[in-house]
Amino acid sequence: MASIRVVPLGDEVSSISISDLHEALQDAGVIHGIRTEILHQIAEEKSVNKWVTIARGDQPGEGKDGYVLYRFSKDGRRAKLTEDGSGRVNIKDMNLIQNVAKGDILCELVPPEVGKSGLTVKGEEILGKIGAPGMLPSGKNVEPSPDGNKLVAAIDGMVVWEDSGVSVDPVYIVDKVDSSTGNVRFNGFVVVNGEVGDGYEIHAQKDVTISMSVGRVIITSGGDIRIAGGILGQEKAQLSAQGSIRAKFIQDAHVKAAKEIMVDDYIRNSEVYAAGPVVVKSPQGWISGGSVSSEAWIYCHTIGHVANPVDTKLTIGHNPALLHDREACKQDLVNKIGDFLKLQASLGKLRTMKAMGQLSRQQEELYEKILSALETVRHSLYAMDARIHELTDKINMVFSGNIYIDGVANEGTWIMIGNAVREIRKPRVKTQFSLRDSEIVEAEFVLLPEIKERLESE
Amino acid sequence: MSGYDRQRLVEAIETGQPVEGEDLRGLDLSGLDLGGANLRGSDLRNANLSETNLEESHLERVNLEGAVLHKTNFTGAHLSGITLKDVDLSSCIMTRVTALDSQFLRITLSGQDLSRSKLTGSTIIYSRLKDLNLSEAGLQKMKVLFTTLESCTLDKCALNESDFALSRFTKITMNDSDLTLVSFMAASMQDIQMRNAILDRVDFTLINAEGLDITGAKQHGLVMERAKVRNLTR
Repeated sequence: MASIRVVPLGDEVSSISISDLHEALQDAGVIHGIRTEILHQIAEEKSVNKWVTIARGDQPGEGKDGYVLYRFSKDGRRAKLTEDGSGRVNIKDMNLIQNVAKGDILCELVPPEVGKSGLTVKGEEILGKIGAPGMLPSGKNVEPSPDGNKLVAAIDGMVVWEDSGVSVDPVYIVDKVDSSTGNVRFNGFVVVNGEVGDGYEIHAQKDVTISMSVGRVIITSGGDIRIAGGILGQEKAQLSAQGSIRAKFIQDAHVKAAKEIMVDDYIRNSEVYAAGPVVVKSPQGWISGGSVSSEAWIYCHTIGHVANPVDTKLTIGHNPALLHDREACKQDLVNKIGDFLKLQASLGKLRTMKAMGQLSRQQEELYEKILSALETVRHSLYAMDARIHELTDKINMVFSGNIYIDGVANEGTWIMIGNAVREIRKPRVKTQFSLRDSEIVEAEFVLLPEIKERLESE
Repeated sequence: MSGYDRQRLVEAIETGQPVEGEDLRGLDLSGLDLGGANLRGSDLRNANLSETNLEESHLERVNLEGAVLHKTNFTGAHLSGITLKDVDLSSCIMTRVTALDSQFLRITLSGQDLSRSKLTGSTIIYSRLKDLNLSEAGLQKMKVLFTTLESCTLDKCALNESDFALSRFTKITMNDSDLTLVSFMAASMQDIQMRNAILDRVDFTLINAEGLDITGAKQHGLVMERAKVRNLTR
């Protein structure tokens, strides 16, 4: 702020000129915020010996406070329905779990802003005020980024917002899976303390543990699947694990494990495959109907049914799905060759135009893109070819595991080891089947340590 | 069903009756001499043709899906307009076959003398051809796609307008052959000879070649876009 006081040299003031006032202000260095109307007022009223505010500077502005920008929804209970590629919405996919991977940014600080600068009456800048900084929340399994401005996940898991804190939980624990939770898709461990409703799905990257029996469900696990009850699949259940699968019983279900499958009581009318052993532990345990395959060995007390013979296939060999996978790969490869031919034809047309000098710039760009796409398709074909060879090698692999029957193999039982097949037409008691010189041979059942170990395991 | 069984079929052929367009599905014709038979358009699905002699027979448009082809003699046979999938023909005798406009998908063929055979207009996809003598064969307007050819002789062949896109060639000779308007787009080649060949407007786009001998070849209008060629001998 600047003020002025006119002091007369004599007793009277004949006149006060605006230019004199301006000159006086200039001499004092006042150049900003001068109130011209006041100058005129002083000149007209010839006011003297009185301080009058003649200029005002600009106040600096207040800066905006910093805050935390969250990269997840803090309202974790709100369903987020999404359309699939065909525009359909699965109301069971509620997406209530917010998955994060280690290193994902959970939230970040948005810095405070500096307020607008002010100016003194002498034209000097006055810096604006800085707002208050925000503060990152704290929580479990989270850590600040090296620059301290972000909070990142320290592990894979689900984001939990609770009591103004952010945590990442590696385990999703739920009382039941039904319309209140929707399908579960989680990159950690899943524990269900109750039922999984028919038609619901659980997809976990780690282990899945369920305290009760399951019905018509789809469960995939990057680790183990442990079901305290049984699987009553109604011919629709599909369970697949990258680790092992354990259940009390399996009935009318498709079950696949990259390691072992351990069942307490029985396997009935199911398609069961394990890369590791398949064991039905109970001294009265049985397998009846369907097929049970293992790349290692199979142990069970009774196969089939004495009074009601039913086709029951026990296989030591490759996963039957490999043949299907290979056929699908071959078809994909042929389709890809079709894609290549289409690109080749398009290139041919552009080449004709190019030879006649008729290519526009856009068409020249397209020409180059097609060449690159042809290369990409070639690489894809090589990868598919390698995959087909890999599957073929697995299919042709010679398997030599045994099938151990501690009780009876009844009529209707089919034993398949490698490419050899044997149908059981009369009950066989306490026996084991193995492959010798490309034929299935039988010997007396012997409880090997590796079987005993599994039978005694919890 | 036509009512043909093994015996009736032999009788029909011995008496010179044509057996065209007949239902011969699942018949066991193994070991039979059906040389010169006319079986055009017949359905031979799942038939057993193991060690069957089909020399000079007419098998145009027959359906051979699932047929057992082991040591089958197709010498001079007419196999035009057929489709063969997922079959290894290596034990068969394929000398001088005529298979125009036929489809071969995922077949394996090795150790055969196919010189002077006629395969014009046929398509071979994702197959494996090894140790074949295809000298002087008629191979025009063929599509040989994503197929492995190893140690094969294609000398003095007419290959005009054929497409060998994506195929993998190892130790192949195409000396003195006519390759006018042939495409080798995105093919890979190792130790290939095209000496004295006619290389008129041949498309080598995106090829990856190691050892290509075109000594004495008549070159005109070659397309070599994004081609990688090492050890080129002119």
